Amino acid sequence: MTSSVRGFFFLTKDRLMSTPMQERQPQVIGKASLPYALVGPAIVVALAIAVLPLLYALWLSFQDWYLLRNPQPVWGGLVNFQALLTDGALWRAFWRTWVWTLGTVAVEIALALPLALLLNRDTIVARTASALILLPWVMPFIVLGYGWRFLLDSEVGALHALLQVVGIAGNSSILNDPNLALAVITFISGWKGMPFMVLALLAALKSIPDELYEAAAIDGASAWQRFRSITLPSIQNTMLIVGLVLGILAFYSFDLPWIMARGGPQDATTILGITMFKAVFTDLRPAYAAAISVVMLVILAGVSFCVLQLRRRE
Amino acid sequence: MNADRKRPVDVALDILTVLLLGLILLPIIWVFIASIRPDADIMSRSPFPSQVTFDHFREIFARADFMIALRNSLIVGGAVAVCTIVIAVPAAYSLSRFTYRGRDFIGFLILATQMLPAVAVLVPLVVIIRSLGLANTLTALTFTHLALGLPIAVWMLKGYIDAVPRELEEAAVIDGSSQLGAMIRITLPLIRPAVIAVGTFAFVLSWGEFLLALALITSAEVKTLPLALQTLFDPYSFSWGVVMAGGVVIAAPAVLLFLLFRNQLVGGLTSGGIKG
Amino acid sequence: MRRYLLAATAIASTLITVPAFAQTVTFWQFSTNPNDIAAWEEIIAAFEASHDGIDVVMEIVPWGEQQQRLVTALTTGGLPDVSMLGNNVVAQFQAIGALAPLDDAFAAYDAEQGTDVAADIWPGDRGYYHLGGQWWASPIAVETRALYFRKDLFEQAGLDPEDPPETWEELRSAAKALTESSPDGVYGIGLSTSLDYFTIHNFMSTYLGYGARMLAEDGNCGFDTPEFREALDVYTGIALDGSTHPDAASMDGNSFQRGFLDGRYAMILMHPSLYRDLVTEQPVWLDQVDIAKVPAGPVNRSGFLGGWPLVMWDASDAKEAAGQFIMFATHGEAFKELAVAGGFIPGSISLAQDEPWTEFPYPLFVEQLQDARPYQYPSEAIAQMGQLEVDTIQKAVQAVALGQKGIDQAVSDLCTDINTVLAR
Repeated sequence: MTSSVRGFFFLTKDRLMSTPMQERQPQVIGKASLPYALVGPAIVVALAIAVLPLLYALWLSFQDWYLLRNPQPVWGGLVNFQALLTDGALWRAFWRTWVWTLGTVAVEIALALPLALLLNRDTIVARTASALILLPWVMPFIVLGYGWRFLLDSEVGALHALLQVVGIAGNSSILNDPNLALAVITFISGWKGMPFMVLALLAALKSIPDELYEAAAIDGASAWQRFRSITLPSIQNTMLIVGLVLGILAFYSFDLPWIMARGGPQDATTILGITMFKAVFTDLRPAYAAAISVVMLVILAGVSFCVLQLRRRE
Repeated sequence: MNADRKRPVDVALDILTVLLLGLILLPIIWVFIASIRPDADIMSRSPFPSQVTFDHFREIFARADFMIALRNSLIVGGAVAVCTIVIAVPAAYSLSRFTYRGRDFIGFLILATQMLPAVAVLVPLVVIIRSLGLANTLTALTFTHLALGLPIAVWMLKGYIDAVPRELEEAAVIDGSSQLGAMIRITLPLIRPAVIAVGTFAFVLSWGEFLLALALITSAEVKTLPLALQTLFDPYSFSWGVVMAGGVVIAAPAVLLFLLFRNQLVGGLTSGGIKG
Repeated sequence: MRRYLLAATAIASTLITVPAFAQTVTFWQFSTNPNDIAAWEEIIAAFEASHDGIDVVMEIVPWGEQQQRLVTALTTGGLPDVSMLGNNVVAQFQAIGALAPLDDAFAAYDAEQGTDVAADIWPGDRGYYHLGGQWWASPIAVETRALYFRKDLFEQAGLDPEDPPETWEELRSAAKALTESSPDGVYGIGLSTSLDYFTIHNFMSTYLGYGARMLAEDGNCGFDTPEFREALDVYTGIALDGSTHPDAASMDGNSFQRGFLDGRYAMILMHPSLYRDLVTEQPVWLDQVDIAKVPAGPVNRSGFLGGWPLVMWDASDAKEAAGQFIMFATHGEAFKELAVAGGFIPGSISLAQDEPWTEFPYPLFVEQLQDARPYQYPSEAIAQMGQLEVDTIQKAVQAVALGQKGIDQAVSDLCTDINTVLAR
């Protein structure tokens, strides 16, 4: 930000404080730079935190750097990308990650929507609950891992007993079964992220004017119709945006599948976050990991762009 | 909600809320109970502790590193929440209310900062921060954590600002206020729940962030809570109860802070009187 | 440019933080146990008192984070002068050229004290720390796993409590008998078939005991042999018999240890610290616990070789001081006190024959250490061991134990995995 723009920014603030509203004259000079000034700090953060590292990752992806062979990076051209294309395990992890991501977001919305509706009331219970609902999100993965393990333990776990009754689980914990393990850990991932969706939806719900509901009720609309025609459209964009961001966060999950099952049984819960972690810290191939993240960035950017088009325009 | 609601319905819904909450928070409840049980009791079938002990908590609080980490996490989390709001609100306003060249690109750029995983961002960030001499400082950690919450903060706030009718601000501008004044006076109070939500998000993301803290912080006075929790996992002296207590100590402050702010979540357009 | 910046920062930070006359040795210590930390602080104090002008700064880096921290420091700078290191990744960092050899430090110490430190190192550790004709680490702790068993449950099953299983086959049948005779929820043995490290810590005794070797003479995967197949068969057989917890394929080492303390397993292969936990918790059957050596295979009895040394990093500017600190901390009275406080067996043969490791349960573990071997025995340690130890072998065990693969398929896939890593 140039100092003149910044100066304008503070100047305006000062004048707001001291000048009564009726006497203000709209400024012509500098008005065009106002939007840039407002969004400036965010751009600075984005540049420092994301763009610079992205450039580094881009550079690194063209290096040949397997620590056990080259202590320092050496130009490698497309060697990482070639390896990437033929890495079967990577692409299996890739598809698994999509199942994981979509599953996580689906669970988040499915749990958060009814909860938000339920908590959108003015009672003490509702308000306290909307604070307590944060707990899954703020409790560390490691600790939650043990909590859920206990529930799924084939001997003492309540959840396991329930699943046995329903016929899903056999004699041993469902964490032993590759498909069920992925399913349950995906559910846990959604469960953990759900509180933020609840908060976001609550905020959105609270911005819907009561009068809309009253008018609809007078017109004879049922609760379901009111939900469909008033509530849902108003929160649609919030669900989309928050779902998108939570999805991106879920895409690179590492802690949960690692702590609960080490990416197992076999490869069943090895998603991209684990693959990349291993590539850097166990396999000592930082350049390969950089190539993977560049490719994934492109894919994610494309998908996000498409999702953003689904927004409801006012 | 509707002022004509009858009380029994509210009571019924409250009961439903409590039941549902209990069900959803079952694993959390287990963690809380486990933190006050002796180690020998934790994996038993009975959900009720045969003995209640606060030894685990005593051990946690006796660990000076945990208390220091708690303080550090509070400082960083608070700073991140405040900075995120201060940066995101104007940015979201800019993306929502103005049309200018590069606006869509800037918006997407901000969102795209989220699309790089921490692992990829780690090495260059650490190199930059070390060469700036800022390794092992809370300042560096605060700055890197900003990136965690900023994209969603901007986009969420933009969505809420989009939903506030322009007429309200235009009315104020006609009355002689500047655009900026209208933003601060009119729009900001209306999106207050969203601002709180966004600040909470930034706080919580920073509170639980582990990988970047691991890479940037090595000295004990500057450690944050997730790092302190890791110290409980010594392979030769592992106590489940202490780990659970550690989890409670980490989760509780965040929730307590939010309990303090929850009243801010109420309000907004439902207060009435703002319809055009 | 980056290297210049890093060098500049390193020099600047040395100048800013350290008084001109003192040398600083940064030391990364991995244990977070308050007892251990206190013991290390005492060693540091003793060292600084007797070595004027050297300042040792200890940083606590928890075990779980060590790989991440070290690799990050390798790529961005910030390695310490001295650190602990997992015994099986010494070769990895040595191959990168990140470690500094300790021969000079050994020689200096020997000249000064009239000792022969190299001769005092456990034979298994030699395999991990003596690479390419040089010494790269000075051992602190060693540990091995032995068979804890419940004499009362043995009697209940009609087994002789004074005659614990000697071979893996005997272990298998004993475990089965114990499971059948014990009440529901109590199993013969806490044997892991999950991807956790605990699995490989136990299973390596099996495959080494059957004469299988990880690396063949030509350096490729050596597991494609009848010996390894037999070992895999007997180990997974225990799980398939139902003699261990049904969730064994997804449980971690801590859960098994907790289970034994809770009385759910009649046997378990564990380290000496378990006994310390037993004494702390005082279960009613405590006096019924006895310990035997790890079962043998047809070829030999091989114990797991755990432990960690101190290493010196090549990036260090204070190599002589660092070397002195390493030797001081791993020998002599101060070291002995550290080992006692930490409850581990010292990496020095002569010390371990002495008090207090002459009291139960240590003598058995100490004796077994003579037969404790590294994973890749009899080959020399390889740089890729860190990668291979993470989950390659565990995957094979888990697949067979879950019934997902037959033994032949599992072995063939295992060798494919290992050869892929070796070929990189």
